[in-house]
Amino acid sequence: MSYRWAIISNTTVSPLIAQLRKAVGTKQPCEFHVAQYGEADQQVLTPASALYSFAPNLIVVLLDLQQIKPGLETSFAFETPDARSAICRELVALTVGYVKALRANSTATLLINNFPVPHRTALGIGLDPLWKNALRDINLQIAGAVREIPQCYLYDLDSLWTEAGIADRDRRFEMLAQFPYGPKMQQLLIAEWLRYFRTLQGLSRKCIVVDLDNTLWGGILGEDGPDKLHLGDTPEGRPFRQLQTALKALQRRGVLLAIASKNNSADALAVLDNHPDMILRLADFSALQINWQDKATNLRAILTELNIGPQHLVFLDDTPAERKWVRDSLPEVLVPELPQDTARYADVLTECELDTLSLTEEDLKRTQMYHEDRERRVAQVAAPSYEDFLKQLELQVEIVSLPASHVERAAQLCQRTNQFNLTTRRHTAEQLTRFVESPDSEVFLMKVADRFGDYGWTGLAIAQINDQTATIDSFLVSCRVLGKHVEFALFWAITEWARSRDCRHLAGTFLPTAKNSLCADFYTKCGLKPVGESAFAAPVADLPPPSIQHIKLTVSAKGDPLPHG
Amino acid sequence: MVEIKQIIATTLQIPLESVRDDSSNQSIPEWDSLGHMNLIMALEKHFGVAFTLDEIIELTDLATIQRVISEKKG
Repeated sequence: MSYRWAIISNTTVSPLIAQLRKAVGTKQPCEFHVAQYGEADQQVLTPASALYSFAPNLIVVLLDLQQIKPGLETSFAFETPDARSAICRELVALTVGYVKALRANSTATLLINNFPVPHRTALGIGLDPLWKNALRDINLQIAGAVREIPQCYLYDLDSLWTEAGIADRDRRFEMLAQFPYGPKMQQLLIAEWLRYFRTLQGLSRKCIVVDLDNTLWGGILGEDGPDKLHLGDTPEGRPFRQLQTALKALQRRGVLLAIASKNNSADALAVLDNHPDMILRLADFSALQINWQDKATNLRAILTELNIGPQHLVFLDDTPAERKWVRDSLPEVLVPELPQDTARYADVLTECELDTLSLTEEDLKRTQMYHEDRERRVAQVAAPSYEDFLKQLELQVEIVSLPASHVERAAQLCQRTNQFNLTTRRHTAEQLTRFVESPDSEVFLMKVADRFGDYGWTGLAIAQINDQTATIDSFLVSCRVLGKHVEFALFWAITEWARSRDCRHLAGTFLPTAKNSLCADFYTKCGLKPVGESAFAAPVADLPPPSIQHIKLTVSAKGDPLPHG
Repeated sequence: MVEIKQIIATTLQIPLESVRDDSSNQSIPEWDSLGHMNLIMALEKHFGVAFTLDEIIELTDLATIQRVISEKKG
């Protein structure tokens, strides 16, 4: 299934598209639709236009103020205060109106730019602030309005221009073809769009593995001893404090941290536990590999322990040979070059593909949840059999009809779940809302907890009724709750719902991807029979209740209040 | 000259044989205003030169491109 991009601009954008194609590469098939100049307005405002029939997944808007209201840069200062306010209101209304038209006609994710504030104008320092501050205010108002529009994000074109610099503005192509983007700006703009693309596609990295000596702290623990490490508020220590502070912030936001270090474990743990200047502490890390094995082996152990793939990992290490070894052994791991200069260490983190579009309750609790997982594993080893372990877990599963308050989390699950995902349809919040609102479909959201803690909302299914057949559009379960048979509880909830809606048949599809072979036989296990290529179905009456006696199951229907929070 | 022809063919996505010594934006339909912009960017990147606005407007045939680039490269 290819990902469909639409790029909409009131100026020229074609040269960017060629580069975007190249940057996206062949890894993920993409198709592109471009509407530029006059085409843009026509296609955005006409519901039957080529833009909407293209059915894009992502619509990127690149609006140039110069095309909307030319010459404001030098004329704005001469307007009366009332006229200036009117101009600002009009520009905000125009831009927001554009986005609202897109929203009304498409379920795509929307990306819209803000307006670059010029460095200076010909009028000079006395008058420049009038227009510059008006633009900043317009940008803030657009940002505020965009936040209220579902599945719509504002990308900061102003900051990108600041980064590219005024020298990168290509006046020649601006005058020839309204294309002001120099090589640096083209690169930054595409990189910014790709950040959203990656994040929307669930390709953000989930875990940072750090080395210790000269990465997390200055100096070599085994040689210098804990008291000589550079970690304090000194010029030598500050780079490491800054890196730790940034890592701590990422950890709080839901990124997992882990350690892969060649050290004596007891010595390193003592620093993590007790060193007065450490900002990160032992509890901030979800996996530890402190030993004398090679780093690739240690990274593989971390991947197994955290149950994530190499494509989710970032590896920070100051030693070039270690970086090369990991790059060669695990090419999917992101291994940024750490700069020679320790002062620049923390800057690397902005380029580590760690973006997220929203912050959910699960993100804030993620490290804690992985610690609970560790306790579970200890209990599992101690239990006489796996069945006994499952019984001891005291599993509780709640399945609810997706409430509006949880649409963001549900969309995040659609974006992030790769392994136990029967169809891998990356539904957005907007699309999920449409399923919820339709009388013939239902979105089930599943929460799992046991005596060790709460896994949060970790399963989702969508079913649609058509002619007495309930068809499962999506069925996915986060890998953290697999192995506990909770997926059968979710399937049972769909079965019961289909029964309550007088459906005769229940049907589902398995669409294989590179990562979801795990659930290839799931529908068969549930009692559905193969009825064609990747399709499964059975009469609802024939479906046996699942053996989930170890689970305390609560199911609430549409409109019921949430059992808890 | 061969290098320039290759860049023209690649950028405008046309066969190399269709680019002749006397080719211009009049004789190659793909060499439209967008093609022109892409071509100029490709030439600048390849030869490590920068053209002025006037030069860009003037660079609409192979002979002129050849002349201006060799002047710039000295």
